[in-house]
Amino acid sequence: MEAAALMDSSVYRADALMAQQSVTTPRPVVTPVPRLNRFVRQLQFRHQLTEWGTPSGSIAQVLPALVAQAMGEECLWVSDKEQNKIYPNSWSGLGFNLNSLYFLNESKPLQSIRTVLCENTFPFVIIDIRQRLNSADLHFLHTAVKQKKITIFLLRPFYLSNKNGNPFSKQRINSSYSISRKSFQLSVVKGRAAQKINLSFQEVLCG
Amino acid sequence: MAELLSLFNYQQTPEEFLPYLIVQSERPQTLQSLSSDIMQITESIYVIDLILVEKYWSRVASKNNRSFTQMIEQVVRQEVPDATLSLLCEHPFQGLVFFNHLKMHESRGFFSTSSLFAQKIYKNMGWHPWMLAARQAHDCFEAAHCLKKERKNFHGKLGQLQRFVERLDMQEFSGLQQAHFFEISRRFKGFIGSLWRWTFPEQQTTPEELTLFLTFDHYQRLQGFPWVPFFQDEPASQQTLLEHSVSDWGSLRESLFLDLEKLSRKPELAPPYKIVQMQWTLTLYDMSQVTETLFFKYPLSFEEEREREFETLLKQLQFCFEGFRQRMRERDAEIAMINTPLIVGWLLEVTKGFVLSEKEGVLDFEEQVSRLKNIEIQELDNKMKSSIQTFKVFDHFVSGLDYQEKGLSAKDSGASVPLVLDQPRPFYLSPEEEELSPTDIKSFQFLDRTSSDWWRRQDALDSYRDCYICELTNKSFVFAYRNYKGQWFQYGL
Repeated sequence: MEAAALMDSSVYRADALMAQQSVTTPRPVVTPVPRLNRFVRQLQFRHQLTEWGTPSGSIAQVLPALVAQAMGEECLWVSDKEQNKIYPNSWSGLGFNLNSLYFLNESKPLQSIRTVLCENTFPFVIIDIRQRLNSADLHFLHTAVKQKKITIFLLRPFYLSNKNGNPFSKQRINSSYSISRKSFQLSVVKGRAAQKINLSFQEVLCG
Repeated sequence: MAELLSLFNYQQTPEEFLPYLIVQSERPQTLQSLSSDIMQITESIYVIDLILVEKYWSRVASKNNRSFTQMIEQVVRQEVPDATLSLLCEHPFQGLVFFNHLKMHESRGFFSTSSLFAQKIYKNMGWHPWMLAARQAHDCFEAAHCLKKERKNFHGKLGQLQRFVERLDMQEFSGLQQAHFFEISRRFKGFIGSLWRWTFPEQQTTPEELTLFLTFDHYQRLQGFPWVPFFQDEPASQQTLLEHSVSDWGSLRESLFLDLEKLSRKPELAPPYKIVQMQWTLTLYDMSQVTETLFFKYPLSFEEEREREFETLLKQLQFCFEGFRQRMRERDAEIAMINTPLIVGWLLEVTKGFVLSEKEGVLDFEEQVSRLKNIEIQELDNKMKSSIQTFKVFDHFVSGLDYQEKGLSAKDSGASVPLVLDQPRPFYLSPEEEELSPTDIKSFQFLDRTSSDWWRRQDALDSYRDCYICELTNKSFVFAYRNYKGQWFQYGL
C-alpha cells in the first residue's frame, strides 16, 4: 500500500516538476534599487555560476543578497562560519521570504555541497565560504550548473582579479563598501556589463 | 507595563515539547507505533521516550494540521485502544506521580503536565500518589538492579519521610517544593533525594538537531533517572567477517551494500517498521571493537532505501567511517601506520525503530508541490552531516527573542512580513561579544542606537548600544557597538 502510494507520489512529483519547468520563463531580476537593476540587466545569473568578491564581510554581501532575493527562487545559503550564529533578521530585512530560504552552516561544507548539488533539491545555492576551492571543486560546481540547471552564487572573502582567473564561472563581480565614501562599489571582472558602478548607502538600504 | 507586554508575547511562543508519555496498557507491542524507547514501570504502566522521534511526529502533525500533542493523542487513541489514561510529561517520575493521582480519581483521557489545569492540580496534590510512585520506581529499579547503593533502606526512610510530613501536617507535597533535593537527600538518603529532584524537574531543552555523531545526553534530560529499556524482540542485525582486512571506504562500501541488502530482507524490518538508530560495531586487526552510532533525523524505511540503493544509509555510514578513520589516524600518529584503520569485520544492528501505522505513513495525494518539496528537503537532510536550518522572524515584539529556528516541516503561520531595512544588520552573530581595542579600528560608520530591556537593568544607561560598521586595521569589516563608557564590542560579521 505504502510503496504504491510512494510510486504514485513520485509520478505526481515528476508531473508537477515538468509542469513547473514548462511554464517557467526567465524573469528579469528586479531589486528595489533601480540603478542596480540597470547594472545587472546585462548579466545572466540563472543557471550560471557567478563568483562574487566580497572582501568587506556582510555589508559587501548585501548587493549579491539583493540580487539573490530578486531572483525569487527557493534558495540554500551555505556558509562555513559554524562558530557564528546565523542572524535571519538580516535576510528578512532585505526582503527574503524566510519560508523559501534554507541555511546550512558547518565548518567544512564542501562534501555537503556536493550532496546538495547531486540531489538537485534546491534550484539556487549560495556558497559563502572562506575555504579555498581548487579547480576540481570549481569544475564540480560548473558541471552541476550545466547538467542540473542550478544557479550558484559563490561568495569569496577577497577581491577577485584577472590575474587569477576562474574559467568555470560565467561572471566574476567585486562588491565592496567604503566607509569613508559611504558607498557600495560593484565592478565586473568577467562578464558583459558596465565595468563599474557606485551606489550610495542611502540608495541601497533606504530606497 | 513593559513586563506585562512581554509576558503576553511569551504566550504566543510555540507549545512546549514534553518528551515522555506515560501509558497504561496490557499490550506493550502496540506502544511501538509511537517510539522504540519504552520503559516498563509496573506490569501495565509504561513510559515512552519521544525525543528521538519528535521530528517525525512533528512532521506528521504538520501534515495533518495538528499540534505535536494533538497528534500523539490521536495516535494513542488509534494504535493503543486499551489505553484509557495517558499523560505527556517533562520527566518520567513527575509523570508517574501525576498518573497515580489521575488513576486514584478514576480519570480517563489524555493529559499533559504543561497545561494550566495540570499545573494547578500538581500544586495541590496529596502525598499518597507521590509515595506510591516512589514505591513503583523503587520496585522497577530493584528488578533492573539499578541504584543499589542509593536504594539501601528505602522503605525505612520512606516511612520516616511519611512520619515527618504527618508531624508537620503537610497535606500537599508541593509544601516542600522549596526544599532543595540535596537537603532531602541528606536527611532521607540519596534515592529519596533523587525522587524529590525528579518531582520538580529542572527545565531542559532538547538540542535543535541530533547531528550524526552527537548522542543526545538523555542522562541530562532524565537528571539521573535510570532508563531501563523494555525489549520485546532481539534487534535485527547482520554480521560480516572479512577474509582480508580493509581500510578504505571503496572496499567497505561493497560489503556494506550486501549487508544492507540482507538486512532489508529481514521480516522484522519490513514496512511499516522505520528505523531511527543503528549501531555499527567494527572489529579491528587487533580484535579490538569500536562502536559507531548512526542517528536518522527522520525515520527511514528499509524498503524505500533498498529502492534507492541504500543511498542515505551508505552516506551516513561513510560519515561514520570518516570520523572513525580520523580518530584512528590521530591515535596511531606516532607509529605511522599508513593504512589505519585495518578492519576485519563488523556487526550492523538496528537498535531503534518504530512501527508506523499505515494512516500516518501514506502520503496525502492532495498535497501541494511545496509539501513534496519539504519531504525532498527532509530526505536530503538525512544525508547531511549537519542539519539544514530554517527560521522565522516574529512580526511582534518578544523580549530578548526576535527570531526563532523552526523545523523543516513547520507550517507557515501566514505570509511572511518583510521588514523594512533602514540599517544593515550582520548576517552572522559572534558567539560572544568580543571587546575591540580602539586602536584596532581604522574607520567606522554610525548605524543606530538601541536600548532594549532597559527596565531590567539597574543602570538604565547600560542598555544603550551605539551600533557601527567598523573597518579594522587588518582590513576586515565587522559590526560593533559602543557602550556609554566608550568601550567597543564586536557582535557580528
